[in-house]
Amino acid sequence: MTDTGSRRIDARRDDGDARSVRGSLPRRVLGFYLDGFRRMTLGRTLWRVVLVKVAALLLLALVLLEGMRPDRGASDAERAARVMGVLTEGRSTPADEVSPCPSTPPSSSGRAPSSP
Amino acid sequence: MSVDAAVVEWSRAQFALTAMFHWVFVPLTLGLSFIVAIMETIYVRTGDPEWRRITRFWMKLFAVNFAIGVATGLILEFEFGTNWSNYSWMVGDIFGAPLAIEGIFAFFLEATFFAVMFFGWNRVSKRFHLTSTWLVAIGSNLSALWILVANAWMQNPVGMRFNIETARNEMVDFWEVVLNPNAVTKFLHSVSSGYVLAALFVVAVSAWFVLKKRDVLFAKRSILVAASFGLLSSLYLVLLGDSSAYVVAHDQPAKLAAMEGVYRGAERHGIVAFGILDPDKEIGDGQDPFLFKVEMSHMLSLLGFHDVNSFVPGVEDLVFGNPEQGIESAASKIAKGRVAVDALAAYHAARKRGDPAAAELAKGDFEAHASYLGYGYLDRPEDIIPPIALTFYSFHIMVALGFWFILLFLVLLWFHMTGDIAAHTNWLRLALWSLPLGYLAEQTGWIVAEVGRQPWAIQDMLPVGVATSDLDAASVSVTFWLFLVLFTALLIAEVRIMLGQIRRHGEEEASHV
Repeated sequence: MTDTGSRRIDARRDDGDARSVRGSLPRRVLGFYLDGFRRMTLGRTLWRVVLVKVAALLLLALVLLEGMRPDRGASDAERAARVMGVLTEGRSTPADEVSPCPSTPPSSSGRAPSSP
Repeated sequence: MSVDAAVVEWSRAQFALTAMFHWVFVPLTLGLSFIVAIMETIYVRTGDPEWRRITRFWMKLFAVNFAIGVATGLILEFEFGTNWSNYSWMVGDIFGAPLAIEGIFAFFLEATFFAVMFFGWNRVSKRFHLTSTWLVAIGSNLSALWILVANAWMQNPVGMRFNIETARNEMVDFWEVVLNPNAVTKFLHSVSSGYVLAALFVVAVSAWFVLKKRDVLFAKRSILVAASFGLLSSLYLVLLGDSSAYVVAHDQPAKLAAMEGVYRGAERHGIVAFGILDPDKEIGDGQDPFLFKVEMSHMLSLLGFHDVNSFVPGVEDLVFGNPEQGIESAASKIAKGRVAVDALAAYHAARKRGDPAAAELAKGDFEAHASYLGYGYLDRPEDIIPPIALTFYSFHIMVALGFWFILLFLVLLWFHMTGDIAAHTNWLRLALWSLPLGYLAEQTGWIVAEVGRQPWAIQDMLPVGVATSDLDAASVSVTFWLFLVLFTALLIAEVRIMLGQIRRHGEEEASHV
C-alpha cells in the first residue's frame, strides 16, 4: 500500500473513532475531557513536566521569594507609608548639589559631523 | 543615593534571567499557533488528509513548547512583589486592570479551546475544531497584548495620576493606557517577531526532513506555509520598525541615541548600518564614538521624526542640554526632581504636624515639578543614559538578522515555486542554522527594549535603584542561581522532548496528543 493510501485509511479510522456520546451537556463535556485524558500519549509526558515544573516554581516562589518579601503581611497603609518613606528619604544629596557633568562640550547642532 | 547597588544589580539580573527564559517559549507559542491554524484551514478547505497530518505534527510541537513554557511567567509576578516591591506598590493600580483582563479573558479563552484543539480531533466537527484552533491562536496573542500594554506603560506612563497620599499611580483613563502608542507598536512588533521565529522554526525542522530525505512532501508543504507566513511577518516588522523608531524618538530619546550610538545630535542625521564603537569613548570627550561605521545619510532623522531635516538629539545633548534645540540639561532636570522629592517630604511632614497651609504649599510645589520626580533620585547627569554599547550592538544584531530572515524566506519561496527545493541543500542548511539566529534576534530585541530604557523602571518617574526592595543581596543572588539551574533544566527538557517528537515523526500518524 502506498504511503498516501495508508494515511487516508488512518484518517478514516480516526474519523470512525468519533463517537457521539449521548446524554446531557455536562455529561458530554465531562466525557470529552475524560476520554481525552485517557487517550493521551505525548500529553502524559507533558503533564508530568508541567506538574513538576509548577511544583518546583511554586516551591521556590513561595518558600524563597515570598519569604524575602519586605512588605509581607503589611496593610496597604503600612505599604504606602514604607514606599513614601523610600521616595522622600531615598536621596542623600541636597537639591542644589547636583554632581557636575564629566565635561561640557560645545553645543551640538547642525549637520551630523560624519554626514556627507 | 543610599541603595545597595548589589541588590539592584542582582534583582535586575534575576528579572532579566526569568524574562529571557520566558521569552524563549512565548514567541514560538504566539507564531506557531497561527501557523497551525493556517495549516488546519487548508486541510478543512481542501479535505486533503496530508494537510491534516501536517497540522497534527506541528500541533504536537506547539503542545510541547506550550507545556514547557507555561507558568514561567508566574515567577516574574512573584519577583515583582519580592525584588521590586516599591515599584509594585506604585504601579499596582495600573497593572491590575490589564493583567486581570489577561487572566480572565485571554488565558481562559486559550485554555478552554486548547482542550478542544487536542482532544477534539475526532469528537467535534471539523469546523468547530478549526474555530478552536484559531481561538487558541487569538487567545495566546491577546495574552501577550495585555502584558505588553503593562510593559509599554513603564516605557511611556500615560493615562494616570500620582496620588500624593498613597504614593501610587492611579489609572484615570483605561483607553489611554491601552492605546498608548508605545503599547500598540510594542505589541505589534513583539507578536510579529514571534511569527517570524515560528516560521523559522517550521522552516528549520522541515529543512532537516528534506536534508534527511524523510517525508519530503510533508516538509515541502510546511516550508511553503511557514516561509510565506514568515516573509509577510518579516516585511511587516520592517514597517513596524519605522513606527517603533518614531515612538522611541519622541518618548525615549536617550534610548534612540544609545541604539544608534549618537553622542552629538545633528540635523539630517544618518543611521549607522554597521559600526564598531570605540570602547574608550566617554561622554563629552570630543572623540569620534566609532572606530568604523557605514552610515546611511539622513535616515535617522527621517525614521525618527519623519522629516529628513529634523534634529536628532545625541547623548551629549540630553546630558548637557542644548538650548538651541530646546533640550533641557539632565542637571537641570535632576535639580527640579530634587525639588519634587523635597516637596513630597515637606507635604507629608506638614500633614503629620497638622499644618494644612504648609501642606497645600508643598503640594503645589510638588505638582509643579512632579514630571521630574524620577530625576530627583539620580546622582549624576550622565546617569540618564543607558549602557550604549549593549543597546547599540543588540539593536544592530536584531535589525541585521531581520533582513537576513527576509532574504531567507524569499529565496526558499523562490526555490519552492521555480523548481525542487530539495536540490538546494546549502540553503536548506542555512535555514536549519537560522533557527538559533531567530532566538538571538528575539533576545536582542528585548535587550534593546529593557536595557535601552535604563535607568528607569518607570520612564522619568522611578529609577531602578528606588524601585528595588530593601533585601539582602546574598538572598537575591542565591535565588538567581537556583532559577538559572531550574530554567536550564526545563530548557533541556523541552529540547529533548521536542527533538524526540521530531525524530519520531511518522511513527504515530493517528495517535492522540
